[in-house]
Amino acid sequence: MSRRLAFVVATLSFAAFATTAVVAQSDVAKQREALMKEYGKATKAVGGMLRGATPFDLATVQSTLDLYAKNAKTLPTLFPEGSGESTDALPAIWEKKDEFEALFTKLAADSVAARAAITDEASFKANFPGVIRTCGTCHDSFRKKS
Amino acid sequence: MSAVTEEAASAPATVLAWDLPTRLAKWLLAALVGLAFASKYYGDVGLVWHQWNGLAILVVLVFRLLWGLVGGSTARFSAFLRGPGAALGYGLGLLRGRPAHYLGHNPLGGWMVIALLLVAAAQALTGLFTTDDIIVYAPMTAVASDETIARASALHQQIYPILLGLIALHVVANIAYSALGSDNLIAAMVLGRKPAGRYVDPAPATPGSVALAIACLAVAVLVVFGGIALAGGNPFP
Repeated sequence: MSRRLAFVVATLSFAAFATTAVVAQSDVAKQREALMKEYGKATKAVGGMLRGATPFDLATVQSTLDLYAKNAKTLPTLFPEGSGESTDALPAIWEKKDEFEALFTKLAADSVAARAAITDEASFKANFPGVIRTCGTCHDSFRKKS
Repeated sequence: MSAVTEEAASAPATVLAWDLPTRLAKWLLAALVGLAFASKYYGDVGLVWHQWNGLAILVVLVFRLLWGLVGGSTARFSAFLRGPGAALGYGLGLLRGRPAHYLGHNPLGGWMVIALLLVAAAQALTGLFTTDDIIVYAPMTAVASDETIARASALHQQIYPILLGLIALHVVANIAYSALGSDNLIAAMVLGRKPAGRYVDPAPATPGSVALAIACLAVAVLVVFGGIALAGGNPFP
């Protein structure tokens, strides 16, 4: 009887653990998607300035670059092994983990450098595009196309 | 009388195959598609240049559509669009080394024209709804749903290799005709003329009116930019 009880307890706790793991996995995907959405929203606003559709605003550009650097530190930790299931994350993330994480390191470093280099509209237009090219590089290799 | 005879004797006997607006639209489209490739891979990060490229391609496509209805005789869809039987018959003749000679597009070439125009149009139209989710927001992304944008963005990438394949086939076929066969299509598409001779379709071609061509171009510009603006998009990237 006690052995059977132990078995039931073990089974239940395993099920609970597995459920928690699955929940945690979808949570981690949600977290990184939320950080990416922050990137998207901030970049869209700066994109308008880059095209000349909206007036240049140094403070917005600086806060965007700060956001790039901040989220680039957190994002690599939000891609644990096996968390790609039913998301746009490609297996290449875990097959070429070093390359993937290096892109975040580059994005953070480039953002910090651009933050210092950008003082006016001209230096913005010269320095900003180089920072976000890394976004496209990463999407091309590590994100599902559709 | 004698002057006419002299001219006929000295000038090589050629006939009009494709009128100027048809040839201009053709080479302009080819150049713009090439530029669209360049502006995607070597252009600005916001793809502003690439978007202008796409809009220009749309204008040329709408022009070509109109010109296919009211343009020169060999530019009209009704003249070069033939059924699968005709295409098959022509293809068999080609394989036997005795292709029927057409002044305008032959039956297989006619289908290639349609395929190229349709695929280029699909690529240009999906491009209007495409985003890279980073900084590129094409003219219609402001008013389209997220699903539409995601679908169009994926299609814009999927159609691209199809377009490249069609272009490759088209270029190889034309080089083969011009270099190996007796029908120099490339020269005819540049200069507009082919040697006088016996053709299946009526020769010489009747050119379309230049005034009508300008009107078609104006309508095309209006349709593309006006259409995007009316649909709530931003026609100026």
